Amino acid sequence: MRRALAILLLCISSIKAYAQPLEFTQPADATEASPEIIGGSKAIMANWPATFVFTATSGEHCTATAIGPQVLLTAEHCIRGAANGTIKASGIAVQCEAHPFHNSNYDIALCFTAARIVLAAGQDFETIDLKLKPADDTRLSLLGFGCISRGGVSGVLYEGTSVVKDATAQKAVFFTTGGVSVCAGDSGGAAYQPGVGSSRRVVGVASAAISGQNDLSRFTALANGPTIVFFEDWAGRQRDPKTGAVIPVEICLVDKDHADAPADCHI
Amino acid sequence: MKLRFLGVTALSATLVSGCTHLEVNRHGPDSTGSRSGYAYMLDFTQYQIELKRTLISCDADKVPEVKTEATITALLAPDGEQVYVIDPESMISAFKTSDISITYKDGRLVAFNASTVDKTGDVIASVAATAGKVVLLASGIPIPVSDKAGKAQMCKDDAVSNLALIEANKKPIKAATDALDEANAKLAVLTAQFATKPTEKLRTQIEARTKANAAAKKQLDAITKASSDAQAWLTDRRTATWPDDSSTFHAWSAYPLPIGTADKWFKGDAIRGVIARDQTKTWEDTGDDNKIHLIIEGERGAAYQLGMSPEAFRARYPELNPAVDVTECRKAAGSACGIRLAQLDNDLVNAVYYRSVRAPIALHLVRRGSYGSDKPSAGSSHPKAGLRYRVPAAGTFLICEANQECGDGSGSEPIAKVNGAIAQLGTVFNISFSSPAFASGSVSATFDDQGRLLTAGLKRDNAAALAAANAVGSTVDEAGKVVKAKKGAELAGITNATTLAKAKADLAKAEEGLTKTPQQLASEQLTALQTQQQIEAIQATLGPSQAKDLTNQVAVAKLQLDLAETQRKRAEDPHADQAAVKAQYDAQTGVTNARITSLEAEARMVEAERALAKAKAGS
Repeated sequence: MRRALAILLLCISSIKAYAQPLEFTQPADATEASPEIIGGSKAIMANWPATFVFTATSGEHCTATAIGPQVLLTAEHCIRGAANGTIKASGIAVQCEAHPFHNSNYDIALCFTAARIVLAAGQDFETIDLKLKPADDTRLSLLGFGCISRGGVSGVLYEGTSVVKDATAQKAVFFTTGGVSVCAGDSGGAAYQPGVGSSRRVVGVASAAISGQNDLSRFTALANGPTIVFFEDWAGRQRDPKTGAVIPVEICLVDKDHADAPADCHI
Repeated sequence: MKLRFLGVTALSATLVSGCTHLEVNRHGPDSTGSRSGYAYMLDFTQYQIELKRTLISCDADKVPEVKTEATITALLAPDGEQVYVIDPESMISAFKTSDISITYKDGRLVAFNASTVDKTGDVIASVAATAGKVVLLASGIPIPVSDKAGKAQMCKDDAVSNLALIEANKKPIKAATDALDEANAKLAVLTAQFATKPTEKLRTQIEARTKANAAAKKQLDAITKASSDAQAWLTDRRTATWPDDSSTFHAWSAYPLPIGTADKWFKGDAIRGVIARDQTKTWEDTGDDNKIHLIIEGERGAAYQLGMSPEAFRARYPELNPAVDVTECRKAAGSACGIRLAQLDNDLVNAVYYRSVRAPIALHLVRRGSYGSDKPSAGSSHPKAGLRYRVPAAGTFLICEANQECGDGSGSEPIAKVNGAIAQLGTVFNISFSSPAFASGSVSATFDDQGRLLTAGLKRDNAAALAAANAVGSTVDEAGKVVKAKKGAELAGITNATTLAKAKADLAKAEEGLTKTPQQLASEQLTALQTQQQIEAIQATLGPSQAKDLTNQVAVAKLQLDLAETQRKRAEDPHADQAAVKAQYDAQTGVTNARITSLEAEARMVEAERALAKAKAGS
């Protein structure tokens, strides 16, 4: 992330698919030596245990969030062309699929892991909300890798806040402005709407930054009909790679119609 | 201040009956009335804009920055939408035909039965050269925030290398300039010593020093030229005149970076690829059926993005309408819908590219204060309304980023702005005149070159017809004398002598509001012209080397003016502390200083050669 109104990092990626698969890792904790960014603070990994970084198909670095024991949420533009990978630490295979409307602003993808994602003991997966689209002026928490004004990704996790703007203009997206804004490496990362106490829920996925007079961060919203349909359809199609049997996919959801959430979901 | 005199100094009296009215008809393209008479036009304010865009940064991890600067000159132009025809028939009396004399310049009435007015030169208001504004290219294009390990670059290799060369040359230019300055001083000292007491030792030292300085100068010139050439490559200049007519007050997207320059500087295909993949498609949204549909109308709509009316959109893309399922249409690439959608996608990419990368500008004429309007003032259409004139309103000419307003209250900084009187924001007034039977009179009015009323006079004399005729005759004679006296005035084109006289006159009649005061501008003009004239005179009598000295001095003086201008712009530039902007000013200053030093080196070497030659001739 970077301070809003600072210089934007630009990435023009090749659209050719690379042969190498996606590789997911968990980021390092910030140290005393890690650079500061204005408007953000160094994040402690223990507070964000379900956040992963990965190298995407075209060599880009992206973020993913574990939202269930075998589910990762990320941006579609990070998996263009090839959608398979592994979680480095555990070697667990990962297969990703883009939202069917990804050409029409729905820049999100879901990834299914062949085995349970291993988090540190006692740590929870993040919870998504498919009913809540944040309203204008809501302050969201953003997570990112702290690209500073020059030099790119620092490789450690930062957190900060930004305020929602233009929430209702389109169903698929919303924007935030002020505070921190998304920067290189933050694609696919989650936008969190804080609840009471330490509760939080994922309401969007980082997609793009827009430079100009008032720097904006663009997020793909989760609370819309096509995305609910995508989640439900995708969850019902995942199969065990060995047996081919359909696997019931558990997703940490805050939803009246899905009151039963798996254990280990962040409240 | 120049005067424009519109004077009716005599009107005929009639012994027959009725009144005499001065009749002036408005003439338009649809006018069906008689075109017989004396036609004249009002003026409107036009601006000559010298637009300079410089690519100032192109880092791999940043959006390119282009600095846009403008030099604005306000002009007066004849307003084809305000044409009036004076009906001479309305002036004819039973006794005599009015002796009517009309004088024009550029379609403007400058005299009516009265003295002519010197209308030399069209520059009527301030010339404003602004520090400009840094515009981020690709502003508004969403950029995906994945990070590529190998940093991507939006600019072409030549752009990157030219920027790098200018940066790399800064220190060597400074070092070489300082060294040559010192060497020049040493040579001057040696030459002065030699002139006092020529010795063989000094001669040898001078010859060696001259040779060394010549070599150093050559090196400095080469590196300075390389930086200047690189800077010229990174700069695009164009001149435009706006508006075309008096009823245009806004242009929302004009004068983009030429295609050739954009293609020269930027990787157009790569940028279009980013736009195609990652642009926020405001014209596609999810319907209640959870399918994706097109939005055509409104600010979010595809038609608006393309700058088209909805009707034009429907004509160009007949298969596309809000009912179409965009996802299914895209899947069926070979279908009529699929082909048309692909065409729309491509057109939208180009539209976004045009807006974001070719960075057009917006132009606005805005009223200041309570007088005036941007709704064209028609004035009275009644023929008996008499002479029409327009009083300009106080206004501001603004150059903004495309599709934006800017300036006070808008929150957006302008690229350039100039305050002044804007004729077409003003109201058209009229001076009518009628003379009853057995009466005569006169009406006069004087205006300045902005069309503002300075004086007005009305006289009516109810004397008997003969006395009235005599009065008319004598008044006409007086007017005739004035006309004859002024006939000798030469309204020549712009020449050195005329410009010199104008500069002297302006010095005495300055107006405020220029970027430099008029006194400063006129003094500089005067000095430059006088120096130029001196050079021309001296060249006829002196030898070439002495003439070269003077030419050198003028060149150095001009460079010092450039240096002062750069420093002034830097002091006023709100972006001066931004790295790329600071780098550009530093480079510009370094090159100008190097050129001054190089010219001074040439002067010192000529002096030395002259001293050696003189000593040789003496021996």
